Amino acid sequence: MSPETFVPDLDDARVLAAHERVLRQALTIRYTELRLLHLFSEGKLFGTVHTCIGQEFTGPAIAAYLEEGDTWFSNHRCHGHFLAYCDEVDGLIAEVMGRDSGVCGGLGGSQHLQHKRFFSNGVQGGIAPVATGLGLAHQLDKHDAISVVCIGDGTLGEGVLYESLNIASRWDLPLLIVLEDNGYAQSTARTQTLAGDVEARFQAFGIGTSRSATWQWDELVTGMGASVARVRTSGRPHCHVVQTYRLRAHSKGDDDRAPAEIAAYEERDPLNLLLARYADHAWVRTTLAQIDERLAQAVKRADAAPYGAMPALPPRAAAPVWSKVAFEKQRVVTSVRDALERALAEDPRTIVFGEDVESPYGGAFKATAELSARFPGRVRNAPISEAAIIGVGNGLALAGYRPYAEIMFGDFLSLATDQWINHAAKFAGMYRHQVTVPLTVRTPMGGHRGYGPTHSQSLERLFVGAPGTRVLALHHRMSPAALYAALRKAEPLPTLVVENKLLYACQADAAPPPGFQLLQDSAGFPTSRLQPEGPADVTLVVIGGLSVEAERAVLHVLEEDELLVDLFLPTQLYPFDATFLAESLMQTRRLVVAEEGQGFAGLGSEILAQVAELALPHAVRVARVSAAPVPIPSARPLEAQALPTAESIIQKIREVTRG
Amino acid sequence: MAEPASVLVPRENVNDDIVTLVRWHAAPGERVRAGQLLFEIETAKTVYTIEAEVEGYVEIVCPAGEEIAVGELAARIHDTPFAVVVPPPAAPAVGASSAASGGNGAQVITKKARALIDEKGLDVALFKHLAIVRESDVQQALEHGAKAGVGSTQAGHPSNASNTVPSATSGAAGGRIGALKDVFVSSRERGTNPFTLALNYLFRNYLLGLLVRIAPRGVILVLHRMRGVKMGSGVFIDPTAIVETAYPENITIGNDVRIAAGSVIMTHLKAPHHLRETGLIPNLVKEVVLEDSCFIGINAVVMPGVRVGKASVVISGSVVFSDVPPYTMVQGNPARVIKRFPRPDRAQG
Repeated sequence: MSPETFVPDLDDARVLAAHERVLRQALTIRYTELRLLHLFSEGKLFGTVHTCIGQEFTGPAIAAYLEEGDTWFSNHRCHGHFLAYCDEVDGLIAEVMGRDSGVCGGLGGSQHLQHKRFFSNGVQGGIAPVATGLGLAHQLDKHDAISVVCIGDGTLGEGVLYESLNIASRWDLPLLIVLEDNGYAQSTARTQTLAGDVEARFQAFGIGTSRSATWQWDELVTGMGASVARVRTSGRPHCHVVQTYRLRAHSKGDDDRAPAEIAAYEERDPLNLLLARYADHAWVRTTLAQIDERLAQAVKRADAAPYGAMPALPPRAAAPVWSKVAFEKQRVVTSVRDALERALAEDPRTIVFGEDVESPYGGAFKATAELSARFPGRVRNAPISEAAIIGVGNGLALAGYRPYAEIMFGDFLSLATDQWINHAAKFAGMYRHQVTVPLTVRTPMGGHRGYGPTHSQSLERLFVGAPGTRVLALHHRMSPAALYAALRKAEPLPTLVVENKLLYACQADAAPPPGFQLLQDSAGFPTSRLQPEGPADVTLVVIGGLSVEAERAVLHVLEEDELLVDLFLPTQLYPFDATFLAESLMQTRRLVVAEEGQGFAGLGSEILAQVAELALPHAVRVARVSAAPVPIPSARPLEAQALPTAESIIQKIREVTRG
Repeated sequence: MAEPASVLVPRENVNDDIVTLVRWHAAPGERVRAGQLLFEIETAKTVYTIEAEVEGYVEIVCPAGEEIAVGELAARIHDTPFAVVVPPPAAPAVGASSAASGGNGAQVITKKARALIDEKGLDVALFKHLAIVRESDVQQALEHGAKAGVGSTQAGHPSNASNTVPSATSGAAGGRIGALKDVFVSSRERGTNPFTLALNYLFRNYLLGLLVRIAPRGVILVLHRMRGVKMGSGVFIDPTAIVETAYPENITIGNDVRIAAGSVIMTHLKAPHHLRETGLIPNLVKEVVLEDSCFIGINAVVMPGVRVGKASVVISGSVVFSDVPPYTMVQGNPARVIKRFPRPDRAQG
């Protein structure tokens, strides 16, 4: 066992003065956590709490050296870090009690706190790339602010941590990783799940490490000071391991550790020893009385406070106003590239990054061609780390930057789902809209290129439906440049833009074919409509780049079958409101929806469900076009059978008009 | 004379199946040497230059500005200039600039419609007011008396005995006014002496016309009938509407027709002397037929020789120069079909 626990000599006025601040914070944390456990047993809390009793000194040690611009990202066990950061006892208690006066209005609760530049989230590992992104923001800001992230020994099992370490070290980012090693991941001992050496993991990325322990907390404080200074002066990442022990359960009722082991640590605990030795010390007595009084008041005020308001729901879409549209005919990929160039030129907070985006390669589909030469440092090659790419984007966005992350193939977006669903989508909502996440993720989807099962999918259906996000899709009847320009002016939401490999080479064109007019509605991300000059027979809704094939189908059935098709190409896939289809369906009473992805629980199902809910005065005959339920074959002839084409759309149009 | 060498578009990267041929560096028929720059193609990545592999005379297959698939023929190189096919100068491309043209001027004729037009030997110009021509449009024109090789048909006399207006009796499918040749002169005007003509004018055209404007609603229709307008039942004519000033007897109105405020229904046109004498615009008097249940909107103008079909709508402010087919809505100056109503007499779909 390690050397003796440090207990300062409180009778020495100079010693007391030197440690007073840290001690007061640690005691505040201890008694706040005890009070929360008490409130839990009284049934006044929702969910659960993860207390840091036994680990209190880490937070105050970090807070002692933080400066105004520094950011701090914590995890599920965040109360101690939070109180050390801002001492908002009232805000914390009210938040955990779910009250409006909580720091996040009761929307975040125990694990999701945010105040000024302090953040916490409840998913292991996912906070690491976000903190790395905040580090990149500090580097770009050219201030000497640092980014701190607190992880536990359990986090060492998460792969995204290593993606983050790699980026932080390679890009020289001011990131301090504080690893609180309490020996347990919930109920599982670290020795059971961790291979190799803790420090060696960081050293492998060229990241220096330090180590201190809770029990010698005087050394922990000075050691943390050295670590903070090292990150601040070198601008490079550093890891500080804090040996510690959690005296209470991970959460509630999930402690299977040997009582004897816990008792031994109780006896060594610095606060227990201090309180036993100085029970009658004047400073201790007044400090504890003050803390008691603060907590009593905080609970009383929180009890009296109302629950927060339910977040406002998005309004129903108004009836669309259709008008003719004009834009310059341009190759889609050129239009995307020009939009990125304009954003980079006009807004210095624009950052474009992803795999292989720098010149001369300029992205797998050349959407970033030559941009890195013109905007060095703001157009960056990232390692093959999709989760960290989106995570770094999240961090940049939280810091006020306008990141555009490129995922080379939409299929790889699956690697970054946690960053999209649990981080990007959640921050604004769970932090009571005190932050925004103006992150744009661009990725090409779609097949017909012979790239096979893992480079051809249309996975947009997996990414729609996360509240707080927006999903857009390019098609050839909307100018990509106009879409990206609108995005810069729109409400700053995390936005996924689904591009399309085949579409890149097509022309975005506003000139309608003979017999049709091209219209757009007045929405921020308008739906395009190719309306026939005469009463339509069928309404057709098409998702994304399938628009090109769909238009071929529309012209074909007009020529061959004398069927007039009213074609709708929505640009915004989520949130989606099908009200705009009502007018056309009143005329046609027939609807075909087409998407290139899987049909099961797909975009088409959602549209049909919403149309059913429109409760039109008559029945609508419907059909869906989607990919066959098989992995997309590589062989072109087989791929053509598996994926929707003009032919499959024509077939469904004929089906709904027959008989 | 050897086989010409083919110049195919090469694959330059994995992502582009279609490229744009942006510029030619050789003129048609020009002699080029091997290695000489021929043309440029634009891919998603960049612009590539393509050189001639052999010496010879260039025949351009894919003109500049066109999209072309990888592996397709862009040019041929012949060993003799006489083998080169030089294309005639192209007409300016329609819709080349991507403005909000709304498809104006462009027309689609479906396969079935085209077949019927060809079978009956009809003039395509008959359908120039339609953006989309379907088989039913051709059939409708045939019902209205369209004949082979004739753009418009002679107007016949509607039956005076019947209050309803049959659709198939007369055509008067006119083109623009300037194109009208057949001047129809009212039967009553023919063979009348100057005195009765003057009396007629004073009483019928002036006095009754004046009374229409101030008469109570129920009397308006009686006055119009006295003026000579032929009319069915359930008709509404606003007092401010002008239902022909000189030849009211040339107007036939079916049942349940509504003519809104400020509308003008004209059956005659008196051109200025100069235009008339030079034959540019003839004087004309042509009957107008408003079929059952049609609706003439506020301030609409119906010109001589027009038949407004059953249950059709002329949108306010429109000027109608040519026939309005039944169950349609027309708008604008000149009025064009903007909507077709489902016909209750035909099965849907």
